[in-house]
Amino acid sequence: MIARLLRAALPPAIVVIALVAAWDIAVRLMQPSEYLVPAPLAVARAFLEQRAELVPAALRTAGSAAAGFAIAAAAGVLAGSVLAASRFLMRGLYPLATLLQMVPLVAIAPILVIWCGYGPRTSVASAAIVSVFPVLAATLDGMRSTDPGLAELFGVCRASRLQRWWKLELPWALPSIVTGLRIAAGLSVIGAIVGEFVGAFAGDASPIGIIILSAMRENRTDLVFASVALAAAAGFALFGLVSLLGWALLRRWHASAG
Amino acid sequence: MGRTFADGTRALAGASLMVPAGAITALVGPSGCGKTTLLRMMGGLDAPTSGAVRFAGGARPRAAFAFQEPRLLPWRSVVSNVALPLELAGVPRGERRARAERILDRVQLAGAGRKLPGQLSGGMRMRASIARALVTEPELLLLDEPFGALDEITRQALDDLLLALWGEFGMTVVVVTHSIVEAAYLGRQVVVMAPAPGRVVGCIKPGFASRTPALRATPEFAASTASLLQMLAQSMVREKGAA
Amino acid sequence: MVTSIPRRAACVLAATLCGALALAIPAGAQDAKPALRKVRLQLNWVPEPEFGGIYAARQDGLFAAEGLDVEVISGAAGTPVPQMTASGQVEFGVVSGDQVLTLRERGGSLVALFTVFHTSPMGVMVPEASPHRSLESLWKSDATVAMEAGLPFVRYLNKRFPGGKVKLVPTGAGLAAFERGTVQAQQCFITAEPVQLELRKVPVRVFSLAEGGYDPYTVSIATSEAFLAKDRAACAAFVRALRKGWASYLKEPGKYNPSIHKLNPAMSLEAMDLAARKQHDLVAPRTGDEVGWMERDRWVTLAGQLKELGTLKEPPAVIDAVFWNAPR
Repeated sequence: MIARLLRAALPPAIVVIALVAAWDIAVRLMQPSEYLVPAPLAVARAFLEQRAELVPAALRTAGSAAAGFAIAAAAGVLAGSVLAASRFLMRGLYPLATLLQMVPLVAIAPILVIWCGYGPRTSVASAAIVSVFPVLAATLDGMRSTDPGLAELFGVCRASRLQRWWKLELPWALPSIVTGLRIAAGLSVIGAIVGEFVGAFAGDASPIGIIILSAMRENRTDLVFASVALAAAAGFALFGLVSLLGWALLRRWHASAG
Repeated sequence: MGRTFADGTRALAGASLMVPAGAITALVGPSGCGKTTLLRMMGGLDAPTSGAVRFAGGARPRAAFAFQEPRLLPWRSVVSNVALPLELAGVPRGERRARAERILDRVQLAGAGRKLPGQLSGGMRMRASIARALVTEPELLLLDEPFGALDEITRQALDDLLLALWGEFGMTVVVVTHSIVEAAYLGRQVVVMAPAPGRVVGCIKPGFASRTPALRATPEFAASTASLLQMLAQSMVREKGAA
Repeated sequence: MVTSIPRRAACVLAATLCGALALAIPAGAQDAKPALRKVRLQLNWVPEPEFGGIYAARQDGLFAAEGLDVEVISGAAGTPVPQMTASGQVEFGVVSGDQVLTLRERGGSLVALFTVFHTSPMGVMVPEASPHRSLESLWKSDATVAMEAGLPFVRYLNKRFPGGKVKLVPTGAGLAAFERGTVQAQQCFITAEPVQLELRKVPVRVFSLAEGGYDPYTVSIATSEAFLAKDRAACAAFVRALRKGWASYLKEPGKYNPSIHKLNPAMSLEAMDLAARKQHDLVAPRTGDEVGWMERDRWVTLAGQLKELGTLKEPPAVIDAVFWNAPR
């Protein structure tokens, strides 16, 4: 099992190392100013120097993202189930849901601050908003493709609507839902950071979004890169956790797992 | 108990049929003859647009279906799948597991309870599907080409299994099949149907004294299948003539 | 042998000769006049009275008179003007004094040429009804204050009034949060936000940062070291035009505000006139100096302050490299 994980991690690790090496060579050759493109070592140094500030900040952002993601997962599955159950509702509400997704988060963020106030609540809300649609769409899609033969079986057994949803449609849609959850996991960190840009508390308990903003203002591009890398790592970790969950749920019976 | 039909949907025109209680009836015919529609109407999955399904004793009996695809939930174990109808009806866990295990034993899947459907062969999955149909102890068992996707050897084995189960439980069985051999082997009454429009063209009652695997080799059996074949062929010719 | 040329042909020939002459003379005259030097000026905000002198210079043709064709590009919050200027994307850019120094430490060499405000207009505003009557009182409370993240003066205030529990939030939501009271104080330009609020009948009290001890050159126009070296004459011409433009604007802002208002309809003409009046004393030089003239001491002080606050690791070795006053 450990061997398999390592083997799976090897190709992307090689790609990352190759990219960082290419970046380093490019910087050495072209010698851009530090404020434009810092060298990988400069970024690493910035991270090491500020890690006491950066790591807790990243954890705060990851926490907001995870909370937003959890809300979006529940809301997305429920909303997707409701839309799957009623053709009328689906025709009426699905186009609206897609429209909501089109509105750029940056434009909604100030409104969120007015509704949720300053602090982590805004970043949780913005993370949730950005994550809900992939889950909703995946749930809807998965449920609507329920095998009609199985649906008929449930009909023959006179199952209640709730039984049908819980014992047939939800497990059936699970592979699709997991795909949606993975997409949402990555997006949730972005959503949290955008929310932080507009509504987070700076100071002792800054999240990563604030650090990025103030590093940009102070022309500390190396710190910006380090913060962004850390945020990406948080997103990746969340994605990994969700993938692991998906694997655990699906591995025994679905080809997509493993 | 006796059962009476009259007339049907556009897939069926003027099909009229009596199904004897406690016996196996086979519906045989080419594609499009409406045999599946007829079966589904018997079980309440469809309703006739003209005419009606009537049951002796008035009330509709408890029916169970087995389809050509096993229709097992891939994420549940075999025993959990078999217990599903009981679970949906609210039977407590301990009791439904026990009943499921017993049925699995009857269909010779005793060791396979914990496996997932994906780990079983086609024949085993079909047996699990039948087990699920039987777990509720239905009065009416409806099978729609249950062994159509399987090879000949497996099919014969499963036919014998079906006979054995019927022998034990004694419910009314209606089997829809493409196979004349299977129809003759299983059915106390074999109903021949023809398409366009779907209708009943004839009915024979092969009166074999006993049904054992050896029966298939006997000349009487061959005679039965021959007459069924003839009936079918005639109906096709008539149809061609009419067209 | 003399052949009489047909009359019509003679007329055509004469007309053609006249035409050619008519075209040739102005062309010749144009060849003598040099083409205008194209330069770009990137603002760090939308067109407002803080850039009044620039628009005055443009309106009065002062740039053209100095041989420059200046394209003025509006900016917004977050426009990376220091980087754009240092990297040569634009020739001139509006930055703040601290950015000139911090960018230099990260490899971007800006040289400040002109500073609009000799006294910083930066401040923190509270509603008139607020219990806080001083920056100290505000900073030591647990009020929610909206500040752009990473501004040096936040560090300055934190250092000056330590142990405060003030909660800092970003300014992304504009004035809405301040007006609702969600935010009890907000950073401002003395000449901008309070003006708009006054016109909306929302009285405020403003604490000036300059009076509080932090007074960098604000709204400075800078260029890259490379461009200054390459075309010092253009930089000097640019500064001369700016000085004249500002002199005109200070005398008569009402003459130039309509054109600014057309570029930024969101700020009313009334607000612009009020802002221009408020900013007058912060822009007009106190001594006989030119508008925009920079003093070395101010840069030294700023560098020292930034080092103390930890924004700069070290003050620049040669402070004079950081700014350049074009000869009068």
